[in-house]
Amino acid sequence: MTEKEYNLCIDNYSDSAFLYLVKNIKDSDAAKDILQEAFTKLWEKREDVDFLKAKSYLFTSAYHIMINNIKYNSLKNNIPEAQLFTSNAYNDINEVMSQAMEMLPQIQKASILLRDYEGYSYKEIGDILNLSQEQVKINIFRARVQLREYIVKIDNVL
Amino acid sequence: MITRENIEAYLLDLIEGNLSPEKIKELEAFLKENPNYREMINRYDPSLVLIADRNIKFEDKESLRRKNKSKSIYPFIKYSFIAIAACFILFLFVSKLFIKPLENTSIKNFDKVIVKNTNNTLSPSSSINNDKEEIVKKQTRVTTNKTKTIAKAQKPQEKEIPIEVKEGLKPEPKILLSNSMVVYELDNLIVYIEGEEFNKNKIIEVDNLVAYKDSPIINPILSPLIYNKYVYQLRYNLETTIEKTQNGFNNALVYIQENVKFNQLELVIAKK
Repeated sequence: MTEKEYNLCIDNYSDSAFLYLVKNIKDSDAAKDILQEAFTKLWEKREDVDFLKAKSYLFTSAYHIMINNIKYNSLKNNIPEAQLFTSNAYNDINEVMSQAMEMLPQIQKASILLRDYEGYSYKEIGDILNLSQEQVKINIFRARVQLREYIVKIDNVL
Repeated sequence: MITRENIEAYLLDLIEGNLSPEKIKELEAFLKENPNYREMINRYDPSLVLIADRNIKFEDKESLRRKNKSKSIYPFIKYSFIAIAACFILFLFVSKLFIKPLENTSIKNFDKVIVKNTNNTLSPSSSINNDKEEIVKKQTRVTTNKTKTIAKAQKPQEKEIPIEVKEGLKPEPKILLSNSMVVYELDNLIVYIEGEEFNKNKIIEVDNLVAYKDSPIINPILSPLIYNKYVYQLRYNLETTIEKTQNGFNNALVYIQENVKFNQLELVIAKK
């Protein structure tokens, strides 16, 4: 990947990767840091990364950095992983889907976001998240079932 | 093989139409044995798709941009060469301005001066030669601008009232204490013949010709200037007429060495 292609990746993928991270961790500052780290990694590995696979590489890096940060903060602060990155939540309480997303386990959230936001295939999601296709399908199936149940529950309340 | 652990994956493939006929038969067999999983198909809503909020942007894109070091060094090298070249040209230019007088005091330039002596009362050739040697020595000490050279001498025939020298023409004291006539900034040709009236037509584009009478008594600075009628005339014409002509003759004064007597002298300074 050339310098020009790398900078093209910034133009094409930084917004979607940032959105992916924000939706995952609900913390825009942390998402920004992770994205910068992911792009740094992409720059360092640019000789080995094909431009056509740069987006997958970027999302893969971003995801793993995000997971590492979650685990690190969990150990550091002795806080359950599920409660991390919720203090600066992406703040739109009227957005039911956003609330429902918060209920999902991290791996399900990461899987369904890649599928719906970025349109990745199950195989590509598996490559990014280091999962088998079967595991990806199970995660997405379970995530969609939980989202639907949450929305139905809210509808019943309203 | 379909199990309770991976049943969701097969159900998803079924819903999305990706199961082969063989797998569909296998799934049907599994659901027949595990009917509680059949309801999972209804719990899954394929129309429930997350919509990305594209208003969320990463604003700090510029912080991510990079440049190859090899490429970024290239302009540096390129501009370094340009800078070096510019410095070299500037050095040459400055050298031409400030070092030029020293260069012009070389013997080579000095030799361009032709001194003809037709009626000697003293030993003109030896005097001239001595003058040359002396001038060469003295020129090495010259710190004034554009000193070019040569001595011409003639005893003043009549004294004129000294005329104050223009401030800008004052040579350095070292020059004034010399026994030679010094011509400053004489760019082109001057022909000066004793006994003839000063002919301005013979003076062409001379800049700052300075000549003065050297006297141990009255020459502490430049005051002993211009007792010779030619000198006076020269200076007079300089300040009145010649300076304004197209010849570009500027600021000419003549120095006469007191103890050297030439009845007739022709001074030619070659065009540089």
